[in-house]
Parts: sequence; structure tokens; C-alpha cells
Amino acid sequence: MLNLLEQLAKWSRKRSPWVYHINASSCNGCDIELVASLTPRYDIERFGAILVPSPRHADVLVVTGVVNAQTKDRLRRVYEQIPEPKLVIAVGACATAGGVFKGCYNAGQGVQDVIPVNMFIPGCPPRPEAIMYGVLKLLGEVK
Amino acid sequence: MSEAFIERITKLAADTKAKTSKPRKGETFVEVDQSNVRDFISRLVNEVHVLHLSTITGLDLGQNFGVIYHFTYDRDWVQVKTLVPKTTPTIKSIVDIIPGAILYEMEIHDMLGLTFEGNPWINQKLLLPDNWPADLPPPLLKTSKPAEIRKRLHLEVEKK
Repeated sequence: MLNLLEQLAKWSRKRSPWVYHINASSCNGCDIELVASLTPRYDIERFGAILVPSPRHADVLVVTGVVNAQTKDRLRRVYEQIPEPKLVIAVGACATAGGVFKGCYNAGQGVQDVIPVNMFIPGCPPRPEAIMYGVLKLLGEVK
Repeated sequence: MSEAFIERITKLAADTKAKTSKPRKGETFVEVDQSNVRDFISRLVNEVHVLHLSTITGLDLGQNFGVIYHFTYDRDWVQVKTLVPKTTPTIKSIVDIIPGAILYEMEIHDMLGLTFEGNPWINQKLLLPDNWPADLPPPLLKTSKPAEIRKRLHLEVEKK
């Protein structure tokens, strides 16, 4: 009985990944592509993914932008508010490795230095297809 | 740019002992002494009616700081440049002439450590992070070291 309930929870989690998006000092390029993947043309909502306004309702955290001194602690605080189990996706060149800001006095070298990341989607900015491919591939690996 | 307009600026520059040049079409470059720059700008605004300050640029030129005020008038540029020695890094603010200059001056103070005398917000941070250590030199000086600043801001992570 317990096993069945666990399976049901897993199944429903896989089919409704609620996404919270945080902009850790992004230039807005990746954010626009993320919003484009929600539009009717790409329609990521047909896989059950919706953007939620609070990290406490989310299963998936999408981070865009290079992490700097100002956003580092705030990003960690948002990550800690997401209930388990949680997944983190780093979208864009800045979030994966620092991008054009790498080596700057105020910029880190990607999200993985601050919080654990499950999926990197590179690109400047990545196309909506790439973001959807990343999200679906990640959900396919959730066992 | 009308000829009359250029003439007025050239005349104004001659009054304040400034050098003018025309690096390219539609652009007038004026080099003013630090003691005359406030006078020049106030007359530029009040007499020639060049009202729009596009931005202020701060430069690290080794011995001196460079400050360039970029004005636009119709489709033309008027650039006003002045030098401030690094030994006395203060210049008079132009906030009372152009109130919009307040943020540009704060930015230059953050990035280069140049103080604008008379700007009411000059001691507040605009772009630097909240946890910026007070003893660090301004980040955009040529002598500052990004790797050390990153270490102080806890942004460097030791890779295993």
C-alpha cells in the first residue's frame, strides 16, 4: 500500500513539475527565452510545467544569470525554501560557467558554486527548444 | 549641427579658457580646466540651452582621473572633458545645475573613488554589493586586482 502511494507521488511529480524562476543578475535574454517556452508556440505547459510565484510551491528551480556577491546569499535562501525533492536547472552561459562575466571582480563562476545543480542548459541565450529538451530530459531521469 | 550653435560653443569655450576640437561630424569635444568646468557647464545649460546630459564617464588615466560629461543637443554631441589629479580626488558636483547627474556621479564614486563635492547622496552605495569591505580600493582602478576582490567577497570557490 505504501509502495503504491510512493509510486503515485512519483508519477504525479513527474507530470506536474512546478517551476520557480529566479534571475540571479541575468541580462534578461535567458528570461525572455524561458517565457517564450511557455507561449502557445512551444507550450511547455502541456507537460504540466507551470511557473509558480513562490519557491515554497515549486519542484524545480530555474536559475538564469551569473551569480554575483549581491545575489549569492539570496539565491541560497530561495533554494532552501523549496521543499524536497527539488531539482535545479541552470539556464544560459552565465549560469553554467560565468559567461562573459567570468573573471570580473564581482562575478562568480556559475550556479554550481552556490547550490547543487542537476541540469545545465548552455547557450547565450538557449533556444526555447533547448530549455524544453533539458527540462524533459531531466524529468525522464527522475526515477 | 548649425553653424551658429558651434559658434556659440566655441565662444563660450574661449571665455572659459577651454580647448575645442571636432573629432567627427556632429561632435564637439571641449577640454576644460577643473576649476572652470562648473562655470562652463552652467553657461552651456543656461545660455546655449544644451539641456540633456546623456551620461558622465569616469576614466583612470594613471596620474589623473578623467571625467567626461556627454551632452546631446538635437542630434549632436557636446563632450566636456576635465582632468582631476589623483592626489586630490575631488571635483565639484553639478547636481544643482542638472539634477539628473546625481546617479552618474554616484556610479563614478563607486567605481573609481572620485568624490563629487556637493552631491547629497555621494556616500551611499549605488552599484557595489552590500557586503563590500570598506578597506578595498574601488574596483575599476587600473591597479585593482579582480581575483583578490572576488576572494574578499567570498565568490572564489576552491575546486577539488
